[in-house]
Amino acid sequence: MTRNALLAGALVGALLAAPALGSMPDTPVARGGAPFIVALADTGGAAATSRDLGPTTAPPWNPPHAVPSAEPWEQAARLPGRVVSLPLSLLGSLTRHGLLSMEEKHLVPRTVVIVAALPRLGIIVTPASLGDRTGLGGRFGLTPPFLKRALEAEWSGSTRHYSRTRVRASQGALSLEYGYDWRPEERFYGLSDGSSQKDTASFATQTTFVRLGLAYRFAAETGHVPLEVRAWIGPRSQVVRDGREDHVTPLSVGFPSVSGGVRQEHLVYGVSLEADARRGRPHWSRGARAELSVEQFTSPTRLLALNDGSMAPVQFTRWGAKAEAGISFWRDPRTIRFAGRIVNQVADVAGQTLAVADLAQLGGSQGLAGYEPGRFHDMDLMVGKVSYIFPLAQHYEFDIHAEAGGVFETLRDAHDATPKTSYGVALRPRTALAPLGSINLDWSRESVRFGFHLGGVE
Amino acid sequence: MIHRIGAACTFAWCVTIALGPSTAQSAGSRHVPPRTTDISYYYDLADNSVFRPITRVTDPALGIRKLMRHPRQALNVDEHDQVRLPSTWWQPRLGYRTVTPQQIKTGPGPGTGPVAGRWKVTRAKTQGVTPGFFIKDQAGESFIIKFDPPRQAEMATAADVVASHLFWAAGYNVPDNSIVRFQREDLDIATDGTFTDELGRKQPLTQEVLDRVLSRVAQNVDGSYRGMASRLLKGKPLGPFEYRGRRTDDPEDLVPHEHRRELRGMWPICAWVNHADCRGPNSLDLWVTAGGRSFVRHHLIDFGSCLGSAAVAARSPQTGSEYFVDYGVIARSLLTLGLARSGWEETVDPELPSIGFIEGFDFDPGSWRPDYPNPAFDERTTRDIVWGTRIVAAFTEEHIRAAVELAHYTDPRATEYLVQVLIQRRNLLMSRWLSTTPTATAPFEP
Ligand SMILES: Nc1ncnc2c1ncn2[C@@H]1O[C@H](COP(=O)(O)OP(=O)(O)OP(=O)(O)O)[C@@H](O)[C@H]1O
Ligand SMILES: [Mg+2]
Repeated sequence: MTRNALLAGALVGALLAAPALGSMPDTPVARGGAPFIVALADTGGAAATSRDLGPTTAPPWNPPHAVPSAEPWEQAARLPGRVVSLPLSLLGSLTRHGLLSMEEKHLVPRTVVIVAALPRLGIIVTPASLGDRTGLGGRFGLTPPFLKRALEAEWSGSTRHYSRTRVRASQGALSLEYGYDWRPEERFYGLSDGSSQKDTASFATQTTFVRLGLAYRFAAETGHVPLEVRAWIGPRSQVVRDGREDHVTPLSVGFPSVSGGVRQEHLVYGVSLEADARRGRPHWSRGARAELSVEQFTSPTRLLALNDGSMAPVQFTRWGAKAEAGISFWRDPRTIRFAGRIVNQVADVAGQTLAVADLAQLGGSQGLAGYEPGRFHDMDLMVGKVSYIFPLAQHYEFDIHAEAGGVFETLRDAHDATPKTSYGVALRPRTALAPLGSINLDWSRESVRFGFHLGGVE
Repeated sequence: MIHRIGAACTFAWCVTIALGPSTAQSAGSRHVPPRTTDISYYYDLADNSVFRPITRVTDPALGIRKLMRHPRQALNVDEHDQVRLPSTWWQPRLGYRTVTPQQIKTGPGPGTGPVAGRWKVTRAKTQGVTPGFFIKDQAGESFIIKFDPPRQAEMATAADVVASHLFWAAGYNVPDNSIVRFQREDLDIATDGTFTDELGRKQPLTQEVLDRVLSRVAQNVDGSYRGMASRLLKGKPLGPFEYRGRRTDDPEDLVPHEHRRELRGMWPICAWVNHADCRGPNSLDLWVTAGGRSFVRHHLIDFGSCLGSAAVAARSPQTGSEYFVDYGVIARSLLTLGLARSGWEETVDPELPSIGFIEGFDFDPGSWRPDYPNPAFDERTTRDIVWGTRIVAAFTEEHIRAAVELAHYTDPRATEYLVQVLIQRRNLLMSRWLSTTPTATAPFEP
């Protein structure tokens, strides 16, 4: 052994000895005198033996008594808070034990396994997407695996008794679909922008349809915008009744002139063209999407009618145009989006009004989110939205948006109208791949609305 | 002068040896191991991400300490600001003793992995995010074998081996981890082999189950498998330790963990190797019998989410600069409408699948943070950080290279990249923390 090694050993010894000699655990560091051995040890010191480097078996240094986590004055300062938050602490302790036993019983992996196995059996269970003010809802889907997705059935229901049924058979571009919707608690406030929030009426709609569809997607070759053309035809039967909401004026009392009551039979056919060139993750951040559609509602032949309702329904044409575009900057995308939507409905006989359920509407998720769902109804609508989406942190992003628009008897009236405006913010939890949902707060001159979605956020 | 210090120290050493372990609790007298404990993963996440941060911001005592710039210093340090020894948490190695690169390669030892030949699989882990199994080699030694995700071959296994050896050299108790290569045919099923199925039920182990585990992991081109073998630690497992509080039924555990220097001062070491997964559940206390007594020894385990690895995928570039739920970052983004750009947005992905994501240019040695707050790190003061940074500073390029070579990366660029990144990160830590003199009234660093 060299002398240096001995010296190094001695210094190491000093370090080991220090705990036995020192008594005050809180002694501040000796200024400029902190021993640091690496320099010494590295200058020619022989390697420590593996025994030196192994973990000790000696009884560890310990203070004479257990040290409390906090000093007495700290405990005193915390006392009031402790008392106030006692229920919370109890709750926390319960949660802790609950979660631990849940983990020991493998509850989460079990649920994950079951939920993940369901699609393989052709069963899909998700939250329902029935629209605003429909309550909590669930969707139950069935796609028998032996039919290779040729047949899909789904049923959604909610606590407000909304329900929706779809059965769809498809073969290549062709599909045949049956649908049934029951919407018991819809709202109507009168026609036009000038309607008042006080004139609330409640209505219910029941719709049944059968639709033969054709969808064709032009191959999305590199550099080409994916284009999809759809066409559909089929009978539809719809009836508007008084709503099922307690303490809300029924439609037939509030608005006798627009109230339905009669079942209307239609033959519906239409085409749409959609181009979608949006890109980006976790939310689409660049590119644009546009959709044009025209849909004709005519009287059906007796053969095609689903029910024996009115065979002389209000006949009309519905034109729709929708477009959105986004630009974005920086790596975690800050995105500015513009979106616009126009609906233009023309009755075959001028002056005829459509059934309430067929009118164009704004409010809630239809546009102008700061207003109640269904707050504005009329023949036509025009609405625009600007949003700015920016990252908050790894797993959250934030959306600030403003909307302006209105409903009109004809779009020509839009020139003179003052648009209604609505503003909102949304917190969107996200993964690196997609937003998971959103918590929204929207407001307008009339109301403040709070809502949340699970999934379905773009 | 040096001679005189040397003499004094030698004297002190002799005194200690003569007096023997004069510490208050010579717990050799106790023969009953403390209760086995467990930590709920979800509760730990929720507690440290939500409940504890709320408690901290509303804590008047902490507020007073911040105002007075008088943080509570680590409780188990001596007048030289060093850990009072002996410690069952930490052993002075690099920075205190000469540790050769070869010794780093051996690590906790023996560092040889399972002996070649047939292995008996005793238990398989099919559930959870990372598949794996437990084996017994022909020498009768038991190991846990863990794997890489198919898209990131070598990444998680490399991280586990490299980081465990770096932590060993830094003084911590870790298992003996090494890279192994085996063929499917080398695996036999132990007669009493079990696995916990997807529904949490214990079932007898079968070849099909093993195939299912292996179908989920990266495979070598020649059909063999690469795994990370962690030699099972000897002793009775008592469950993980927490980074706060104490095991009250362990008479040798008298200092609250959040006030232990070894745990607070681990922060710069974790920052260095990007050990963002440093949390209670990734530790293990064992009741060991050695040196004529039985006692609790504290270990760090599971380094599969270190360096550029997040075990099942590459680390996201946000790792280390944001907690999973980071109120500070959220508040800043809200106030600036997202127009304050985060440092990680400038980082360059090395695009090495076996590395994942770690880099050395935009690493911020002042504010690195794990995936979610760690109670001991939250208490760290400049003195704790300086203590740990000095250990990091003691790693030479040769030491680092020795550890990185244990990864057995197929791509030599990966080895070189990781060595350089670790040097860079070490240097950044040093220049941030070692230029200042540690003082008792050091300001709170977050
Ligand atoms: N070397 C070891 N010695 C003893 N026990 C070990 C060792 N390595 C792992 N274990 C045990 O196996 C468990 C899983 O190990 P580890 O944390 O490394 O894997 P993981 O993929 O993170 O799994 P988990 O999600 O279950 O934590 C640990 O909780 C620990 O109890
Ligand atoms: Mg783990």
